[in-house]
Amino acid sequence: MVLCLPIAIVGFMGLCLGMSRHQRDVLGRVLSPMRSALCKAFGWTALASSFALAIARDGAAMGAVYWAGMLSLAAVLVALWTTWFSRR
Amino acid sequence: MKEGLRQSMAWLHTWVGLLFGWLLFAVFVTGTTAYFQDEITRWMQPEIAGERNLDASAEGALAYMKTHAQGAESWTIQLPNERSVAAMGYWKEKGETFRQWRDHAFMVDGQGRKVDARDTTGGWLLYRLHFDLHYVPVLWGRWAVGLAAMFMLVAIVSGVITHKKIFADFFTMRFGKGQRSWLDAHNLTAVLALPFHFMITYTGLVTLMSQYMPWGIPAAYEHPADYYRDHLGAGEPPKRSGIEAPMASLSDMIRQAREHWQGAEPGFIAIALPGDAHAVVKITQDTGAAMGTRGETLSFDAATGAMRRLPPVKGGASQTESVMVGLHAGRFAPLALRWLYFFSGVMGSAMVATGLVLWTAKRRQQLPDPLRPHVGFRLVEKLNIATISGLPCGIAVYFIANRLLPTGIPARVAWEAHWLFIGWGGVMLYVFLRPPRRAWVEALAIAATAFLAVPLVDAATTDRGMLRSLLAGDLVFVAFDACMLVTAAAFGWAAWTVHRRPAATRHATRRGKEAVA
Repeated sequence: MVLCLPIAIVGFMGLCLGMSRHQRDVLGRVLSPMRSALCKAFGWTALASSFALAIARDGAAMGAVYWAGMLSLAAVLVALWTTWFSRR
Repeated sequence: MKEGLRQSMAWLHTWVGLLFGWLLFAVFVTGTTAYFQDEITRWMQPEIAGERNLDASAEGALAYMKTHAQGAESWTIQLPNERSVAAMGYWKEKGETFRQWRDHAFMVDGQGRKVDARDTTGGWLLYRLHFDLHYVPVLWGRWAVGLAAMFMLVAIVSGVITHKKIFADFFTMRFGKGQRSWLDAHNLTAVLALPFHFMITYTGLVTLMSQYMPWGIPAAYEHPADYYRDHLGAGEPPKRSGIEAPMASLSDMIRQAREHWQGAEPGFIAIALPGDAHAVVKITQDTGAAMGTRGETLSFDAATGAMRRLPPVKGGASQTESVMVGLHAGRFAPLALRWLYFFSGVMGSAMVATGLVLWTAKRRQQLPDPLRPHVGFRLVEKLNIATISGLPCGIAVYFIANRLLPTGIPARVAWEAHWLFIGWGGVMLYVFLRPPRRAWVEALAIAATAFLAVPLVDAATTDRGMLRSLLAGDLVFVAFDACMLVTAAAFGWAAWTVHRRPAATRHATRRGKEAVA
């Protein structure tokens, strides 16, 4: 849980920064398709690792429940993070 | 039928959502509080303090019933779980229905002493509201909630189909853009917690499946009682022998149960025909001991203390049901996961609330005369305000009533519940008397004030106020009061935002008119 949540947040940040709309908001410029793809790949890898970590710690059943709940929290935090940028 | 799939799904989503939205909001909000049911009950019985001790409170409750309930049909002890302190005992006299148990209920603390706590239903009331409603027969309430849940599934599926850019808009939340912002908020709260929404709606229907889909039982069982015996481990009730026999040690039976369950704790003890030679003690595993919520029930001969034959191992379907119900109620969840459940519940409540507001936001521009909306629009708008700020306000009033109603008055429990609805109804009445925009601001402000008042009234009427609890390290009370303050802040912020929002033309004109009038 302690490590899982930050990893999921970073993962969603990666996915988010792979999208041109959010690149404009957060970075102020649009990344090349190559870099966007890299961001996305990184994001998916991080999300997958957070899942693996949750399963390793709490077992398949409990880990999956934890992970699903945590995923929602992480995604909301990242959405608010991009919103904060777009409002500035 | 010329229109496309997406349009027809949008229509379905809009009207199903509107029709069941108010009920679903109440179900989501009360269900969310139910994840902290035990903590709420603790807060609502400030007389009970200390640590839990399962064995001591079981023995204490037993001793109390031995002196006060000789000859009763049954004695029951609801043991405290990990998150509560006190045990509750109650007995049933011959000829009484099960529902009269409240007349003989009492609380026992962790040292086995009976405590005179104020009479309250605590978090249980909100938990029952979640699927039974109130003031209506339980079966009707469950049908209404079940129907709403089934249409919630319809709304989830049609909503996903309607949503044009589920991935492109995944992280998108634009504030201050009117209808666009409401749509963003609705999408965000719906999509980002979609696994929870789907799981909770589906498993919610499973919790009451024997009511909603009763035909399976008579198809497979000649006597429905056999189904309950197989599924819930409810055995044949013993017959009275008429011979008195003292009971063997309850603590020893608890020890045997623990051993059998490899350390999992018991949660529920039912003693049939106490004092009789044929008395049976049934010990059920704590519902939170595993993800599957229907723990095993072990039976003991009360006179000898020996375990009777083991219940049959549950079949796959039965265990699946048990896990689904467990997943819904989250009784197994440790604290961190419990907060995630709570967070998801808040997301669900917000999803329904933003969906309801969106209905009006979308239609406001299309009104022929925005100054005089038709009666349907006005009704929806008022009901939205009355539900979204009224129900939470009612809950705050319920907490305040718990502190202010004198102990020992007749029907105290009923009055606490009445106050919830007086609070809610009061806001509703107020909202219907005010122009919509003012109604939003004022109803939200009233709710904020009510939540702010909870910790203040608590500090003024008990010795377990926030500051003292903090000094005493009593985190349940601190967290409860902190939640009240956070909720108050959220409602206050919402009221302030609506108040400051640049008025649309229609509002400007309306206020101009008011000024003239």
